[in-house]
Amino acid sequence: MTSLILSRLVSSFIALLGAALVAFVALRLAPGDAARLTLGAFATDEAVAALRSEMGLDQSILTQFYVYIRDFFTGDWGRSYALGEPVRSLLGQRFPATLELGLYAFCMAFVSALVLALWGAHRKGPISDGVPKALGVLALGVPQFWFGLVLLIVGFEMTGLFPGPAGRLPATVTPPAGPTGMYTVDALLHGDLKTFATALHHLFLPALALGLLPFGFLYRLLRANLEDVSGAPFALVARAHGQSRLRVMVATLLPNAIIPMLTASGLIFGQLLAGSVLVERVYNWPGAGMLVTQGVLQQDYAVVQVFILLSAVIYIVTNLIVDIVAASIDPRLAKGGA
Amino acid sequence: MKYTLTLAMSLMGSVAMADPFVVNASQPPSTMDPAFACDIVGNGYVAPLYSPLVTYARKTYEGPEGVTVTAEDDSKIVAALAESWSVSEDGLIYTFNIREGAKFASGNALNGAAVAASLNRALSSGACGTYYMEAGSFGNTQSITAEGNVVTITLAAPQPLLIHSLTQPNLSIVDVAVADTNGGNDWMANHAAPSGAYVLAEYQPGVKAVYHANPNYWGDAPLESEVVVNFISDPSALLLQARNGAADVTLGLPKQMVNQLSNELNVVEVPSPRFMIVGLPNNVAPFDNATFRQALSYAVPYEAIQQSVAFGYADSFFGPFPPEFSAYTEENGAARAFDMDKAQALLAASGVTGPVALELTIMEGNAEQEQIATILQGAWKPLGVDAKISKLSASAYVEVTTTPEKTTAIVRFDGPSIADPAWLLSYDMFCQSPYNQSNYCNADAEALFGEAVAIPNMADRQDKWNAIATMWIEDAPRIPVYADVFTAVLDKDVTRWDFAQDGPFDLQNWGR
Amino acid sequence: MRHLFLPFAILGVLALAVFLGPLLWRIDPLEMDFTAFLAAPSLDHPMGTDATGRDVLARFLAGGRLSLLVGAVVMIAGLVPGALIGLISARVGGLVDTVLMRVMDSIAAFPPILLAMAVAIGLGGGLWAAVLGVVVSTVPFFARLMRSEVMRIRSFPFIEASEAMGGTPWFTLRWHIVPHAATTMLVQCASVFGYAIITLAGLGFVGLGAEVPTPEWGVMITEGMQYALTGQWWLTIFPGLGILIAVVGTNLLADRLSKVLGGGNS
Repeated sequence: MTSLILSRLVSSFIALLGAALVAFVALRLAPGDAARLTLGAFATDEAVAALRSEMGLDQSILTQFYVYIRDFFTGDWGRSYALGEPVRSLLGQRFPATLELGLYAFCMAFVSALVLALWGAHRKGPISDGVPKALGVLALGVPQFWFGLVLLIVGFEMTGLFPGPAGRLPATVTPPAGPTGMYTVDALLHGDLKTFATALHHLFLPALALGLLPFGFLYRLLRANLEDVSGAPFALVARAHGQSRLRVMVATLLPNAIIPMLTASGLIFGQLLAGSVLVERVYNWPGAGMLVTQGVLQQDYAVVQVFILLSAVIYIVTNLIVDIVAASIDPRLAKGGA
Repeated sequence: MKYTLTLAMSLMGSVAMADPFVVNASQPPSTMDPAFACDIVGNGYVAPLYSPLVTYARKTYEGPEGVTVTAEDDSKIVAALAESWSVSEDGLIYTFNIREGAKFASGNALNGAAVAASLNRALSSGACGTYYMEAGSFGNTQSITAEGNVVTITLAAPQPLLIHSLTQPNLSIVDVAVADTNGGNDWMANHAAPSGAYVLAEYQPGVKAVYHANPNYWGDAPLESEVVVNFISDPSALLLQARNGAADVTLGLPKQMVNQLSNELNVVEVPSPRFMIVGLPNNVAPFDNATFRQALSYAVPYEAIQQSVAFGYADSFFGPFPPEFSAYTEENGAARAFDMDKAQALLAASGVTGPVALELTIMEGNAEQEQIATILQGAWKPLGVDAKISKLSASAYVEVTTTPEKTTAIVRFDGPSIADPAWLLSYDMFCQSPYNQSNYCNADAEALFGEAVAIPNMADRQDKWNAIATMWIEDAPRIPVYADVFTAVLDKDVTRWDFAQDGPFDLQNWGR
Repeated sequence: MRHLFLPFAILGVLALAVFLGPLLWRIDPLEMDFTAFLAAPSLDHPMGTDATGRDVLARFLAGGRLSLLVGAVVMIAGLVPGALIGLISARVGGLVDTVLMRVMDSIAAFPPILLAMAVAIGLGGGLWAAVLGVVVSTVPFFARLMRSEVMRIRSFPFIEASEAMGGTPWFTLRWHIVPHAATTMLVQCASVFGYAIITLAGLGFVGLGAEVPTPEWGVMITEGMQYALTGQWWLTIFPGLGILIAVVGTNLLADRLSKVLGGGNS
């Protein structure tokens, strides 16, 4: 067990360094002099040279990489020259919006995938099995940002059922003050049901757009797993004991189907983070994803670089945790080396 | 919603701040310091905070029903912070009498010494403040002094534009003592030391600015005591909030959306001396060939661009001066026809052959510029111009437009703060000027310009302007795509609105 | 083969339309009709026109050709290095295997579209930089799959038999391993094809794809975004449908292929 954890730690650490190297190489090649971009068009050459040396841009590549890694892990993430603020505080301000959106998207995706997968496995028929399957295939083929626009055209422009792309709350509503920065949570904590409902109303379309891809992914995963386990001996035994199909499904099969999903949680986080970059812009959702889109458009790459590397770090760390947890639940995995 | 709010307010009686006047604007300022604000958009946010010595009189405009629209009358200058002023016979000494008892928002005395300190701060800023204080003639200001409430500006040579320049936000009066105690220029970029109708109650760069009425203001109280300006870069969000009634005034909407909103809301249209222009790199072959430039200028579907990009909120012209200039006449600026045959003939005459590579520089996120560039790319293709569009971030765009050597064709929305040929030409005519957007250089025209500005009475310069315009049209150094009709979308409850070329943010004149 | 009918029909119709359509629909995708801006779909312009009067159908067809071409390019350009890396890793083993696989881990740690974004930025933007970005993000998937396939096949008895009969490693590889791995790789190729199309569109959406005025589906959606709320829905709907059809078609193909060929991943 300890050796497993140790070896996973080591390989995770190596992957982390590798990911940092990939991000460093890709974005250091980017055109534009970081120092000049920081100082603006009217800066004198001397000032640019001074900042270059202050930023370490005149050092050797190896030193620069070392400094880059050190700064990243010590939380010194540079400055966005377009917004004139440190990247860390920018991401800090924007992240709750992304987190809230991601949370709702995930919940919607998970619940609907689970329900549809159980339904399909429970009652095999052209509709109960075919429709969710077709939905799953569609979900994986729809460009998220386009789906977001279609939802807006239908849900807002044509029917007026949902608010337009105006962010998290209408301009006339003061956002709830609060510890989490997630408006629905904060509103509930303050017992402000009206703001809660408004925030939820604003969340619905973007969460739907963001959740579609994870839905497709989760549905296929759950469906395949339910198929596998429903033929497994223990399920047959449960059936033989006279339990109803549905009961067997929910009580016995579900936990067995969920473990593979847990192991995919790193991927799901990645999908949500990448999706936020595509979806937030459509809804003017003031989250980290929109910050990245604007960073790309404004050629302000400090934010982009940090966000991309963070997404890899989250993936690696999540997988590490999942592996260790899975190994401690299922000792067979500890031997096999996941 | 609004109704209930108003009702609630009238019940409570005294809560004046509960319902602020909301302005949504697409473009935020890059600085709040009047001495460093440099573009017509940025200047606008500074204007409500600082009093100028003198100001333009107002004329009424035809607006939507129920809205009184006023705009600057740049032929008439009236007193503001200076009660009265005089200019010496030789045009070299300007004397201003500052209002007695005026105060800054801080409570500091707004006397002659404070005014002189503020003007000297602008003069020595090394930025646009200097340009305005010198009214474009660098080194012309000899001294700015004060005695009691009398401020004296002494010039080396007459500069009749100075009095126009003093109407501008860039030369409006700053509480230098407050600026200095708080850290000077760095602090001023995001804060204010006001003398104007408003103080800056809150400012988040790129997000919002909140203006509160200045209790110490020397003039009449503004119509609205609290104004919130939100900076919203996304057009659909702007559109939405305008529709929902979340904004009283919406500025910077794409014209296509303005056009759509004109059914539901009030749209104010003010023809302005601002223009969309394409600067050709006059020093780069074959764009150094005037006949070739002429050919390009005939191969522009002006009408189509005005319809598709500006949705008709535009005027045509072809010359150095836009139609809103008093110096403009049919002869020196009539619109150019879209004539491909003529363009081909001129191309043949120019001797330019073979494919010509050209980079069209536009600003990222500016859909109008992108559309114009796309149309030009297609329209110039038959002339053998292989145009590539390069979208630059705001800062990279500024870098390209201020680099002395222009190597690309720059699509640009521009306009002079002061609608006068001398002001406009002084930055776009001189061969050496770094602000010269197309490196246009015609020694004869420049000599004529020198003769023109030597004439002290501005009204007597028209012949020279006509002669310069003739040369300019012959040279076609730049292509004016259209002159802008400024549009503001007003909520139905807005009854007063005012347009200033440099702004258009004389907020004290806006209200319900 | 009955299973493959639907995906082949979808992709076939799309390919026929975008490659042969221009023979019937002879409007230049770059030509601007100055008399019809933002015109709604009609007989003259079945998909309407855009803000500069260009025919959306012509642009849709041109965008489709580009998307299918990019899908094919990414598939091949990702497959070749990916398969090679997987093969070397599995055959050579040891330190080489460890190093190669750790490198693949590092690349695969990024959400693919974010990695593609980083590479596209690093290469200075433009269509082909974006394509290369997408290629890089597919390499680890091919490599890992190839490696596990080779490992799996190697354990089969007939490989031992082949080697016992004096087959050189190259011979074994050429005649036994590659043909067996090919079916799995084929499935992977199909899904990469769809992935490439949707990812390129996503990159175009954030301004990292094709440049003006090249018609590309993702960029077309972005250009139409401003008009989505003012009633000109045709600017966004049609190119999005194009992506949807292409990607659903290839995903279905991958699914059904893996079913028909038996096993493999999906």
